[in-house]
Amino acid sequence: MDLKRPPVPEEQLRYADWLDAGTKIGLALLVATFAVYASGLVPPQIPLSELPRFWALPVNRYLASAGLPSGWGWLKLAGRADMMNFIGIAFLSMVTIACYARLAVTLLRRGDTACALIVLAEIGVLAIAASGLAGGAH
Amino acid sequence: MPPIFAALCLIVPDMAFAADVPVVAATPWWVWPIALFTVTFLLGVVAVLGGVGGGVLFVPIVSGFFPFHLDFVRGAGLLLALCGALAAGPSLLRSGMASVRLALPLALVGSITSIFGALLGLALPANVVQTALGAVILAIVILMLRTKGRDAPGTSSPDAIATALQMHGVYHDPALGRDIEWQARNTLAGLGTFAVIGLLAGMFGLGAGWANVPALNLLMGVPLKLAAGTSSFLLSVIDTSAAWIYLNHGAMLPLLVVPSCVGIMLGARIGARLLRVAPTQIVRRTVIVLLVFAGTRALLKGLGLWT
Repeated sequence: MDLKRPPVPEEQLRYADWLDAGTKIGLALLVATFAVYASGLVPPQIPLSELPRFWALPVNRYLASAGLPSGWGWLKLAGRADMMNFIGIAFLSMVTIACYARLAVTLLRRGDTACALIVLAEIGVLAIAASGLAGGAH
Repeated sequence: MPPIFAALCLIVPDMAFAADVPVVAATPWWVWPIALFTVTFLLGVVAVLGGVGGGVLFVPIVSGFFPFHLDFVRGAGLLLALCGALAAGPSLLRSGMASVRLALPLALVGSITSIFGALLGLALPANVVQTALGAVILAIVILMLRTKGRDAPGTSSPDAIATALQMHGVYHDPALGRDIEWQARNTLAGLGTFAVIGLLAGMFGLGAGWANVPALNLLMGVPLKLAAGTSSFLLSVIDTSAAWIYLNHGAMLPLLVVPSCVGIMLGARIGARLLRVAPTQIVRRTVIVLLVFAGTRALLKGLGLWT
């Protein structure tokens, strides 16, 4: 039966493979780091009991009041349980960029220049957003 | 306060949970992730059965009835929609029920504007964003009530962009037991529409599946099932760029993000299993009632009439 079905483009199948693997790893990281955070095994930057004082504040006041960094500044504090959670969050936010990079390789090999250019432009946009250059980091 | 009771209280507006720090401070921190998990699990079930994304329910409900600032709720809403889209993506892509080729130009435009939307949303005062959110949610309700998808919009002559980018194909519909040929049209209008969708998604932290599907189906002539599958792929790209802006601004609270993501994804799995037996029309009406309630709450909270 399957042989009669229309074929799915190769680049789409490779994209799905990378997406599948990336999502599983990202979700595992998200849950594992949160388990560490909630269990209290590793001390957080902001004690959980103190967090309700900050979470109703706008983000700028939250960062200033809690003395937290913006942008990629959390990496320096990644040993703290709360900051550790950003590893999973950042990983999940990276999955699409990695999948697009794989897609670009497939399209360029095939000589599909128009689509490859769109994919490369998308990688550029996502990289700018991720870097903080688009006004993200203070 | 027992966590289940706390979770139930969250849907009662008069309990003054909304951004009332003294009340919040009296509640142990661990109540909130449990309450979030419970509420988002239910939202996940209802969202799948009602045919909407979880984000469109999550942002107005959690910003209206939980103590977290709207900045954090929008950041969580984006990540929640992103997790759902990433998890659904592989099977949709492998089965051919989503098309990467169709999504590429639309995702590029949407991801650029979602960055601007996110920056705008974070720059504007919270009450302005909350009021606009309420208005958008109520507009979505009108869209849901007026829009009916078309399974096979019919073939029409492709435009130059669609031809150049080969935005056409064939997919197998198991329900119909046959292959469906499709061809995108009105690509320029589609690009403009996805620019607006990206802006709204970034600004309000909404997944935007509610807009993707009608735009692909009714405007661009893509069959309904392929539109729904490709919408999920589009979300994974558009929400990624906006999520990075919120993350770089510090507007992601793990205590809000993780229980919500896990809750809605588990709920969505249960919802997908119930899809065959649940009375979908009743659930859809329930979703509309929830959206009207949450949208009205957001509108009145933003206007300072229901704080």
